[in-house]
Amino acid sequence: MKGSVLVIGGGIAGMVASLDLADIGYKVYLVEKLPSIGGRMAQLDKTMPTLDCSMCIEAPRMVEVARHPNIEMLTYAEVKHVRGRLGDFKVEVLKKSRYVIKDKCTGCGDCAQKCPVDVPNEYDANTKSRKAIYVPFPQAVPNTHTVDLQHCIRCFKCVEACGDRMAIDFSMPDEVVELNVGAIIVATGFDMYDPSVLHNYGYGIADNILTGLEYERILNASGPTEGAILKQDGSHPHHIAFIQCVGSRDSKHKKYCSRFCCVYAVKEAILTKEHEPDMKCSLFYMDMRAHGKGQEEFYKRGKEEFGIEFIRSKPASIHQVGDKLCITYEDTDAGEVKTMDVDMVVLANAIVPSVPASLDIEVDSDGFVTEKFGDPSTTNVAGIYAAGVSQAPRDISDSVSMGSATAGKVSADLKDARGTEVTKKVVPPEKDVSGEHPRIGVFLCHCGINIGGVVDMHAIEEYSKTLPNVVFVQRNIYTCSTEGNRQIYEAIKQHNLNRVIVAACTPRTHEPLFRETCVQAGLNPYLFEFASLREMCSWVHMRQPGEATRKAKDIVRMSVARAAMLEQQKPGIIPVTPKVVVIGGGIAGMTTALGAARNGFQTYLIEREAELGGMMAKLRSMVPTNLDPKQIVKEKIEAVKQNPLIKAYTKTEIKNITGFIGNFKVELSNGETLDAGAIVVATGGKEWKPDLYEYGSNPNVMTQLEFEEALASGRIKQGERIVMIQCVGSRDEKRPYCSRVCCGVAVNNALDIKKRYPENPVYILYNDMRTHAKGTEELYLEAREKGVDFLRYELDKKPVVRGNKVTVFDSFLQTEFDILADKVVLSAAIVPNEDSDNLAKMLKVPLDANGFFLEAHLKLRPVDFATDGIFLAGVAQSPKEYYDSVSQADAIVARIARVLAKPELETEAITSMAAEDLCIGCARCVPCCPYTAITMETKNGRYVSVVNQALCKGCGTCVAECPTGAMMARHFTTQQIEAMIDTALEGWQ
Amino acid sequence: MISKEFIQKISAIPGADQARMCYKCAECTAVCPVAKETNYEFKPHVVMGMINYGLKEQVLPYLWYCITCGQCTVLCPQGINIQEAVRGARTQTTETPYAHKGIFHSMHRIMARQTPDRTKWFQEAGVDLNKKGDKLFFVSCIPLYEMFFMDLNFDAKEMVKSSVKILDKLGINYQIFADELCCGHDVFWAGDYETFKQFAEKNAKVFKERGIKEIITFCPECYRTFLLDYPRVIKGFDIKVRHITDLIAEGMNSGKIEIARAAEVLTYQDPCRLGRHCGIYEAPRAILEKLGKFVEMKHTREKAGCCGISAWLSCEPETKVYREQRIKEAREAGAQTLVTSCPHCLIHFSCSICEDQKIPVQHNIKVKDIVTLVGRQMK
Repeated sequence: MKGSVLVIGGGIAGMVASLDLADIGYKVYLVEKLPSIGGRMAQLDKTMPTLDCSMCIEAPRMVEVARHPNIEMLTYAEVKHVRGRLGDFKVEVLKKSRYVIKDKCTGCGDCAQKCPVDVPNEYDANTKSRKAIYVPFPQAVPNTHTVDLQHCIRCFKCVEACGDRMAIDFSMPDEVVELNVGAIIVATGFDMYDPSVLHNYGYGIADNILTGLEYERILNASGPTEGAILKQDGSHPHHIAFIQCVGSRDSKHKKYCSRFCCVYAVKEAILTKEHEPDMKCSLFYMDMRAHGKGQEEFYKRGKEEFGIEFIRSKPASIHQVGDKLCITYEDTDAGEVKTMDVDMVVLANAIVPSVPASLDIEVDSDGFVTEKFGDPSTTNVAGIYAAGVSQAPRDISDSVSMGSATAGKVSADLKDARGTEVTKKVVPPEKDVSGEHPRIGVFLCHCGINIGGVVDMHAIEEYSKTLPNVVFVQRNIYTCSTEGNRQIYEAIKQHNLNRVIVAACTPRTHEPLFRETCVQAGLNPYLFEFASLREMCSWVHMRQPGEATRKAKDIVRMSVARAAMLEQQKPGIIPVTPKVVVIGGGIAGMTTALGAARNGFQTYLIEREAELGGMMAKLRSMVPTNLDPKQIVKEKIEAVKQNPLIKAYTKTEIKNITGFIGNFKVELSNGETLDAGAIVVATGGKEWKPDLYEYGSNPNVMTQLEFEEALASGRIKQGERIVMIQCVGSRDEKRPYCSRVCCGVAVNNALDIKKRYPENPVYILYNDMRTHAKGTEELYLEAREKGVDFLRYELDKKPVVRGNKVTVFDSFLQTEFDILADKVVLSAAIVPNEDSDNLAKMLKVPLDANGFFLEAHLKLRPVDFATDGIFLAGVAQSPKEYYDSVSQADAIVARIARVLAKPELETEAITSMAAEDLCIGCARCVPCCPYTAITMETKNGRYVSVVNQALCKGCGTCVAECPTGAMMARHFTTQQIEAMIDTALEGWQ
Repeated sequence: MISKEFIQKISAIPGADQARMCYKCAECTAVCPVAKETNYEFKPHVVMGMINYGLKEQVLPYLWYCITCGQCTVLCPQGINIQEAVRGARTQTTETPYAHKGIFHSMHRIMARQTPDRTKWFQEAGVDLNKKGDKLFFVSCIPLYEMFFMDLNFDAKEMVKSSVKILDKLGINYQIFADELCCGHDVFWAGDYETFKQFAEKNAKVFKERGIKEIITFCPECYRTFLLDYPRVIKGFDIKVRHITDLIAEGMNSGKIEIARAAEVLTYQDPCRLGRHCGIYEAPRAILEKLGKFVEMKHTREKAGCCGISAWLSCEPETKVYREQRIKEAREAGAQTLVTSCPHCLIHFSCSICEDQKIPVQHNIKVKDIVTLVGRQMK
């Protein structure tokens, strides 16, 4: 068995899988067909609904991949041939020649500057050009240049420009690499469907009709217009239209729903309004599928806060009329055909899978990987797993979960070979600089135009040189690039720097990266100081460049003052208990428990109810329909019971939780106390008991769950008329979120009735049909085919139930219908469990506005809590389907393994400490600590406060609270802060 | 009140039950020429909704608003054949708005019971009825129409003669039936499914008995009906169907047919049945390129406007608008002659022009049939 893994596809799903596996202890070969990793996410301007700068949150991961000693990247490479089986695959990879020698190329770009050829840049969705020798984007990893031989005119000006570095070699051949790996992860993402085949939309004929991805580049600061929204002729548009389902949900093109386009279009419209508040944005949609966490709220913001016009209609045509684009559509509110003249149109074209044929795995008729054994990431070949969009359309958050999920599975498969092929991370010996006179290096980053476009960086450069202790100053377009980091490294060595300042974006995303560079150069990472010029200066003073430059000088001067006083810090080492407590014995909890046990970790599964199985045990059927929920639950319970590494507790609750990552103590209601290194929250949710539509007083009104039970137990009779009402308690004032699963559930149950009693009339009253998950759009169509009626109501004109009569105003026919109903079925909201609150308090983790648990980061850390060592999966995080729940549950397995596979962990180095002699024992610090890290103890006969160094996160709240100055924060000492304040005030004298 | 009775009744008619697939994207309304002319009183998706919900009384008048041109069907992302859904629903009404006082439908119904004899007509036309072959030249009902539209210079005999000349030139072995029956198109689209079925069954039987393997016709309505509707009604109907323009285009490619180009500026009216219903756009254009100087109108191919009438229904001032628009487009394109490959388009456009000559507005355009032109210009 091999201890190595091949990951195909360097997008976010592939990167996440690679990082998790490499951290757990596997050698990873990451193959990417393009010259740089990063995938589609790198092309996006911002993410939805979080509005994070996409590149800013992804680039640190890309650099982490590049730097990880256990990851070997094979970029500009393709998998040609795979044979073998689980544990022992032989893979042939074709590494296409870049004609540039990796070790000699510094990424300086001198060659590209001299290249006379302009080629449309694929990274910019062809909206901007690159050269025939190029890196696709400044943050590219690796930043080795590539010669595009197809467009190269062999003038060899690049060779001349490269000069003595001699990095360009036109005789370099393609190379075939033979890999021997234990498992394979397919994360090959997607391509865009060509919208020019829809002739009526004029893409490729008329000007200013763009795809969503092209518009993403237009919005981006590094795009063709540097973030200015401009038409092809350079003039300013005043009105932009967004059109959904271009080639998706279309029987003549792609039948499936591409799943994330609705909300990305909302995002693009919001960003447009942020760029230019006076721009008019109109968004045409069929059903607004804002189904993910936070997305419905985001859609509402788009409507109410940003004034985006949402039009429920699919336009029939787009024609160029003069310099305008004329859209012809039916205004379904007014009921008449209108034309709208706009300046620009953005088409949400369908996405199509791009699973390489060289992988002999089963794909469905649409080309997505066919999942097997009721698991989304399992393929028909043992040892080959699928992540991200390769299996079905999904957004970043779900792709990240699935990336980790595949890592968890592979980690279990190859458990016996764990650690056999890894390289120990080599940390160069740390140079002791204590006592040395400060020698500060200042690195100034333009961040493209983010900072450089506002702040006069030349002035900052000159100014920095004048500051005390500064011995070196350098300016970069992107300091975070590989080249930028290399320059920091070189400067530390050459100029004997003992303090490093990067004046750039924000420490939030980039501090770890630069600290690591310092470590590689032999400097203690805490001798690094971040000056935030982007988020604290250029972004907020975008329209005052003069003042911004002045403030940037202040910020740099303050950082220099503090840097001189920085001291070396050392993290602590804590032991790790390789056990995990999983709270919640539903499908997510059991999946995590089984995965953790397969990875060799002792697992405790805690269930409050008398039986394991949770919500899913109550389901009679589900989406995907080929799976039987009862059977799955039964099999999982059996597997849990038989696994010697899992101890399941039923009728057991959590009494108390103390401790910290690696060392938790969980007290149970039965009196037992469990030791664990990690805790998983998989407490699920439940169906809301409605107080609407006569529920409770009318015996014929029931919820979907109750209806399933009634149907299965034969209580629904032939000839009965069934009316289902969607969004009951969801998408309203009290619960603004979408419950995500109900549309699929309703359609599935409707089909179930039709299967049993084809003649029974079934009506589904909906607002937006959100059948987004794989196979559910097809179910929706099947339901229509089988004669289920779908009537659309407006959210402000909800149906009324009176006895056996349901009255609904159909918004298309503009007609009120009375429907006689024998059963009224309510698709009630999914709500969090009522004791989530209590558990959140015990764990000291936050809940979101809707009462679900709040993850560390919706996009990139969906299954982690901000608190280390605690994880969450399934409906506890937000309403979701079976596949997405088990995907998260499996993802946790990898996240846990990263912690538990190591015997010990490093703790935070920047913590608080109490000076015993100054402490007066007032204990004011104890209640203010959000991490309960402080206790009062008697030491040397004095009652003093003691900080648990493993629990302390270094937030500094206690320091502010302490009346005597006894409490000190490492790395943020009073002296350091005062030095900054002093110099700030000097500047204003 | 929603009722499924209506849609259940019509779901036996091919294509009629598709109304339930409509998810109301409303793309159809914006291309529908009828919606526009009725000030959006008529909307295809609303008609689909009404059919689906069984709003029989409300939907009946709208069923006859539809000119079954199929522009909506081209766009429908759900792939609903909207005109066929309408056609199916028409079987549930008797208030058919017949044109020409229903004479053609009456004659068709008579024909369904009593086989006609066209021997004399063919003799007058100089057509040899003794030819043998496993292919059938299906003449269609134009001999019948000739009687009614002589004043429009509608010359069915020349059309048939030209066709025969073309088929002979191509060396095709074909039969012509003197006792040819109607294909059933008109009664079918007028909602008379029973008569249509009689035609289909009778025709299929005769074709089989006489060993027909392939049907050749110049009438797009016959072409559509044999190609699309017969296989759905007659089990095992597998006779190949060819439109004569396809054969002419092939003959031009192989050199069997040579055409003397005229100086005339020509444009082409895509018949709904041949174009949108069956996807034949290229062959007629290839022929027109050879016949004269070919120009396209603003709306062509799948976006081409309809003449406004099919199956001899709803010849009203409202539908005349479509012909007027089309003639205007043809003139704007600079055409001297509007060429069509459909005898019905030919009659309807000829009528429009003649009427206006009476009033007297000079349209300054001629309307011609493609087969006639080929017959005249073939070397």
